[in-house]
Amino acid sequence: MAGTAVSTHDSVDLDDIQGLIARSYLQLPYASYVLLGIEDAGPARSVLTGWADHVTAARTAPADTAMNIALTSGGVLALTGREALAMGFSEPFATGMATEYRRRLLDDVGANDPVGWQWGGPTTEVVHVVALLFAGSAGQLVELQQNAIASAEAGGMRLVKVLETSKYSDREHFGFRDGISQPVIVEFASQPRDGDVVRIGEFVLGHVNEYGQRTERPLLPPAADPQGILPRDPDGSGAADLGRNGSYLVFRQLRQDVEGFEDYLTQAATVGGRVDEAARELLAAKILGRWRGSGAPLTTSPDYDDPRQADANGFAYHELDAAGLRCPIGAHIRRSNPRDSLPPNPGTADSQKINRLHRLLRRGRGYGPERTDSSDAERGLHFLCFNSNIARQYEFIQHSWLNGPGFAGLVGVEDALTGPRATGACKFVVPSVPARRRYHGLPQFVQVRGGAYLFMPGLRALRYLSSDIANH
Amino acid sequence: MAQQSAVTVRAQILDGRVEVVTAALSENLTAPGKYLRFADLPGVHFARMFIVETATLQSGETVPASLIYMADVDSSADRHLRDLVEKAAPGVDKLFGSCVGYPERPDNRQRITWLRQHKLAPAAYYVHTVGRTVARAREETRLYERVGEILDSGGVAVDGATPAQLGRELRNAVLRRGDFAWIKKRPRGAGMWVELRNGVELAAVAAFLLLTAPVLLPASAIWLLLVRLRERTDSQESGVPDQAHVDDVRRYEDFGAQNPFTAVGEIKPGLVRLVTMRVALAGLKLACRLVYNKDQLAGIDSIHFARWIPLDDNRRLIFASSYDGSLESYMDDFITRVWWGINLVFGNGAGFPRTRWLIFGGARDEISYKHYLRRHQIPTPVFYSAYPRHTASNLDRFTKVRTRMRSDSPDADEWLALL
Repeated sequence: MAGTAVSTHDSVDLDDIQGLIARSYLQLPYASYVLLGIEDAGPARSVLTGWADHVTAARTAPADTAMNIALTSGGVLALTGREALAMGFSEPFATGMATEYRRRLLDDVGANDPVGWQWGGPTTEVVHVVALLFAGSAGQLVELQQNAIASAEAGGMRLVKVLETSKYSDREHFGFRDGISQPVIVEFASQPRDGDVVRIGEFVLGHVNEYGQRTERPLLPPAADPQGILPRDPDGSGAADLGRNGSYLVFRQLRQDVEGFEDYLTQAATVGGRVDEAARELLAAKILGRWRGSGAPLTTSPDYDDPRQADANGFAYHELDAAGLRCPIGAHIRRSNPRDSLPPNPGTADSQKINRLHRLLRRGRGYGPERTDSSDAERGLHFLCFNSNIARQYEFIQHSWLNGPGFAGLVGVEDALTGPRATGACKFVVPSVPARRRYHGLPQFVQVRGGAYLFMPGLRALRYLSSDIANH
Repeated sequence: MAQQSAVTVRAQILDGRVEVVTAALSENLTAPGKYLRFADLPGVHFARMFIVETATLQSGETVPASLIYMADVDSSADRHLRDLVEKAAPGVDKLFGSCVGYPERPDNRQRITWLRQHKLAPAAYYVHTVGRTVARAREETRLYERVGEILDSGGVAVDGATPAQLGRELRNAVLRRGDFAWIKKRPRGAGMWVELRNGVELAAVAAFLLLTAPVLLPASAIWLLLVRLRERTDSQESGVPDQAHVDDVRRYEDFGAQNPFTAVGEIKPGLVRLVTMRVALAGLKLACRLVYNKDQLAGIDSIHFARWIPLDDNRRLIFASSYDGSLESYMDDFITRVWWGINLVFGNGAGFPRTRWLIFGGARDEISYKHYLRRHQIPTPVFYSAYPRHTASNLDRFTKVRTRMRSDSPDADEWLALL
């Protein structure tokens, strides 16, 4: 599988790519995201130029703290004053997440409507810059965050909001293990790994993607970068490559109704006033596609939670489970990554090739009290993912797979766990012999509370955007 | 008549009246069916109306703006136009009244005559499932939903039953209600004669190709070289589509299970390209009739109907389809599954991403191709679907359940798995 790596002349500069794209910083369990607005571009450029020297690059894993920087298209405009520069990025990023059209496409309606968002919506303060901070201890994070806010506020920026996270855990609030399945990028892997290899161009701009082409990205005439701050277009056009080594960061704050989810499971597993615990846990597993206990996939452990399969991720669906008798067609992990089950030739390399056009690098973290904590404070997931083509990757997965009522032949059902319930409560179908069992009245469990499409530039691009030259 | 037909009416809009027509069409977004209530007309699967704006062709000639009406119907085109006038004369007057030559204070006969005079025939027409009428699709949907309700209600014993037992129970439960007696009948498809004719035609085409191969193959090779020579210098469009245009098109997208795709483009100048395209379309027409007439078009199962219509003396081509999902998934389907077919037909369009040897390159250039499609798309303010909640593969599933429930078969597990 390593044969799918890009050719050697297309070298990857790990000192230019920001670190969060390459790794999740799991050894830094404390994190927060600082949302900032630019009020005065001149000082803000100085601050960001200073930060660029401290931004964590992909070369080595950070030991104590890490900082990464991303911008909205409004941020690119505010920083440089150049609309053409902001609009030179791909359309979803340039126009933003909360447009009229995207509300429809992403099903951000009803309880998910951006009008009610806590940030990133039409009624909240504009976000231009997001500083993503990570630390090995709570104390270090506080210090890092205070310093960042102080220098931002002293440098023409306004604090919009700090999004706190819970101490890192591989278990999200509904009780599932999260982040087991991630695409493998050969250039980022410390040791060669088999499996789910996807070309780096699917996640990092300016590199070759799964179509064998370099991603769409903003290319500037050489005169726009006389000092040569930016890398040059590797295809030799001479253009200054503003996109190269950057990635689009999709940020969604998702509230999770843990009590609602547990209540639904209990209600569905209650027969004659008695709760069938095994049936309850099985239903949770069917909704997600993995067991809550160990994370073992239903596809390889269909009848009971087998901890030996906890990290199993090399499985495919078609041969073992085309009909979804083990893992339902509508299970969350099957909808968000159908592996080899896509038409017209499921079970083939062709099918997997199509699947590779729709992958995400997930980097999210939870927020709010632990699920065992009885506090009724809001809990949820700061869903973060990287991709290089928002329309073909994030939006496609959200619209056609997770929320698509006809995904893989299903009839009128959205994702049971994350769906927006735009048309009311939803059904969930568990294929079975002699006939499927259908659950009714699933309420909304996940609510969108905020979000933005961001761009996490390469370090040279960050320096360019913060320089005075970009402003001319 | 058990085959669907493609109705197309095109009429030039009177000078200065484009805005009036645009305004009337866009009312459909907030008041669907205000002028034409397609649901009241018999056998309409999909319908749409849009304006092809005035354009200056490569020749320098200006083509005035025109209004286009399209429908996919279970009757003949002429019959449909009569239904349309009889059910919605005021709407027809309102929308076509701004067109050149539309009679003043017309009676129905004059309206029908005028519409028929402005009909266009497609060069090729794809129908997802030939012979599945709107009425049949609705009946089969109702059957599927009914069986599901019986299962959910616990009205039949599921646990411990064999598929054969459960299948029989469900079938009997459905049949107890008199209004499902039709499931015992074979569904009406395209009809025996059509199938027979298709078989004969397929054999004839194969025989013709075999017999003429000694001439056809070398001729095609020479032709391909001629095309290749032109491909090397063909100009291709570049850049990002205008955002205002993208917003215009998207205003009418992603409301139901299906979207309309409507696009127009000029054909590359010269006889070689014109002939190539006409031959490709003729081949496509045959393929749609003889091969792609049941549930898929070259491996793509998300298209309900599609038509290709040459305009303006073969200088332009209009393509219109009704498909499931979003434009992004539609475009990726084409790139990954039928790039060769797309290149063969649309590669003759001016500005299309450059092809090699007719079928290579072109649509495989993901971003150029996606931008090209967006750039050539036409906003489609009026779009009607008879089944806005169900995808084509949903309808196929309902049909399968229906045909397999016809008899009391021991292989009930096949259709039970589809519920």
